[in-house]
Amino acid sequence: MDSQETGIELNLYQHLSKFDMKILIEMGYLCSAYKKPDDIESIFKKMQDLIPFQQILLVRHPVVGNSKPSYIIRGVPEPIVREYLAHEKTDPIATEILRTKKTIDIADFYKKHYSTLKKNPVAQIYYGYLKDGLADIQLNDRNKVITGLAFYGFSARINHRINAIVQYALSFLSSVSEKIGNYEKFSEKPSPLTGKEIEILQWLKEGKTSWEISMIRHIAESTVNFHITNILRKLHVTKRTQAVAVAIQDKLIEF
Amino acid sequence: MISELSKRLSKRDLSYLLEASYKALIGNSKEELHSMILKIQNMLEVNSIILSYGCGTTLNAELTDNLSLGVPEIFISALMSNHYYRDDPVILSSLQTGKVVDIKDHLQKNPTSEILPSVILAKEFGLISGAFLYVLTNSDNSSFLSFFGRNSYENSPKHQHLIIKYVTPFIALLFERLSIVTQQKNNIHCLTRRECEILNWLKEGKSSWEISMILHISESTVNFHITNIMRKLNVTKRTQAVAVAVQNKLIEF
Repeated sequence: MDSQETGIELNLYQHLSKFDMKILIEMGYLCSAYKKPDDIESIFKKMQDLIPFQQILLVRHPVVGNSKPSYIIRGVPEPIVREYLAHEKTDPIATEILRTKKTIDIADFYKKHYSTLKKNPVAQIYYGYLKDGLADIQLNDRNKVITGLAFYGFSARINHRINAIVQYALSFLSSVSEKIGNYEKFSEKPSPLTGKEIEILQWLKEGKTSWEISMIRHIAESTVNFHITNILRKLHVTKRTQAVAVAIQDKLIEF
Repeated sequence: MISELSKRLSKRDLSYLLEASYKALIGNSKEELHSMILKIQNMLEVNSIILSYGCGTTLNAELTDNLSLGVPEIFISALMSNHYYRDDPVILSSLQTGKVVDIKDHLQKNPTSEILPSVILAKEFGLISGAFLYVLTNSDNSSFLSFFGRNSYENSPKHQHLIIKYVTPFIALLFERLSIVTQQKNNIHCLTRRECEILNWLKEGKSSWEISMILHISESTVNFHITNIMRKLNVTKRTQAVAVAVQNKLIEF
C-alpha cells in the first residue's frame, strides 16, 4: 500500500509507535464491545496509558432532534461540573475549536486570551480548577452530532501524535456515549405498564381493533377497552394512535 | 485476547486496522465502506466476503442489506430469498458462542450439518472454507453477519480470527448507519409533505375531524390523505401507521 494517503492515516503510521497503536486497538475493542456502564472505567484506564490525564469530560450533543446531550465525566468535583453545565454554552474553548478546527492546549489558550476571558464564567471555572490539559471536538453522524472531549490535569503538548490519539479517542468515545444514552433510556424508568397492557399495546400497534384483540386474547371487548383506558391514562395521552407513538418512542414496546 | 493482535501483526497492519475502525465510526458513504472492505480483504487474504444486515436478533432475522465481494450474485439471492441463513449451522454456532467460527473446522466436527440446504448451496458455489462471525448491533434489534471465504482448503490462520473479531463490530456500525440513511430516504420520498403533516397530527391523537379543523380542509380530504398514507406504509389502521412512522423516523417526535 502506498503511503500517499491523506490526513489521519498518514499521521497514524508516521507519528504513532507500535505501542500507541496497540493501546488504541485495545481501546477500540473495548468500545465496540461496550455492554454496561462499568466498562467505561477500563476504557479510561487504557486511555491513561496514552494521555496522562487526571480528569476527563466528554459531551455528546445531538444537533438535530430533541435528544438530550449525554455526558461522561470523571474526576471533576460535582459543584464544578454543575457550574460548568450551567454555563456550557459560553465555553470559550469550544467556540475556539469550532472556529479553528484544531486541538487546543487549554493552559496555552488561557495565557493567550487572559484579558478577554476575565468575565467569562466558564473561563473562571477553568482558572480555579481545570487549568491545563487539552480539548477537541468532532462532528459525527453526518454532522448531526457534536462530540467534545477534554482531558485535564497534565501539561499538554500538542503534536501530531497527540492529535492522532485524540481523534481516535473522540470517535471511539462518541460511539460509547451513544450506547450509554441508549442504555440510560432503557434502564432509567421502569415501565409504568403491566404485562397485559404491554401486550394489548403490541396488538394496537399491529392495527387490531378492540374487538379483534378481545377475540385473540379470549377476553371481553369491554375488558380490552378497560385496559386501553388505563394505558391512555398512564401514558398521559387521549388517543390510541398517540399511545402507540409514545410507547415506541419510550421503548415501552418492541417494534 | 485482542492484545495478541499487536504481537502477531506488523505496525503497518495495525495502522490499517485502526484506520478501518476510525473510518467506520466517522464514515458516511458507501464508497468509504467499499474502500474499507477492500483493505480488509487484502489484509485477510480472502477471495470472497459476504456482509449482511437486517432486523431481528434471532435466527428469524430478516436480512435486508447485503454487500458481497467475489461471490456470485445468484448465490446471495438464493441464500436470502429462501431464508437459508436461518438454519445455517455455522451462523447458529457463532450466535451461541459469540466467537468467530471456522467454517471448514465446524463442518468437520459436525458432519450431520452437511445435508442442510444452506451448506449444500454454499458447497455448490465452492464456499467451503473461511471464517464467519455474527454480531448484534448498537440499535437493539439488528443483526450483522460477516463471512470471509477463501478458495483454498486450509483452515484460516488464528490471528485472522482476531482481526475479524476486532473489525466486524465496526463494519456493522457503518453498515447499519448507511442502511438506515437509505431507508429513511426511500420512505421520506414516498410520503408527501401534507401526508407527513397529517401523520404528525395523528400522532398527537387528533381525530380526522380535528385535523380538518386545524388544516382548514374537509374531513373527507383528511381521510383521503390517511388512506394514502396507510397504502404507502402498507398498513391497515391509523395506529399501525403511526407506529411504522415513529419507528422509521418518518415524523419527528
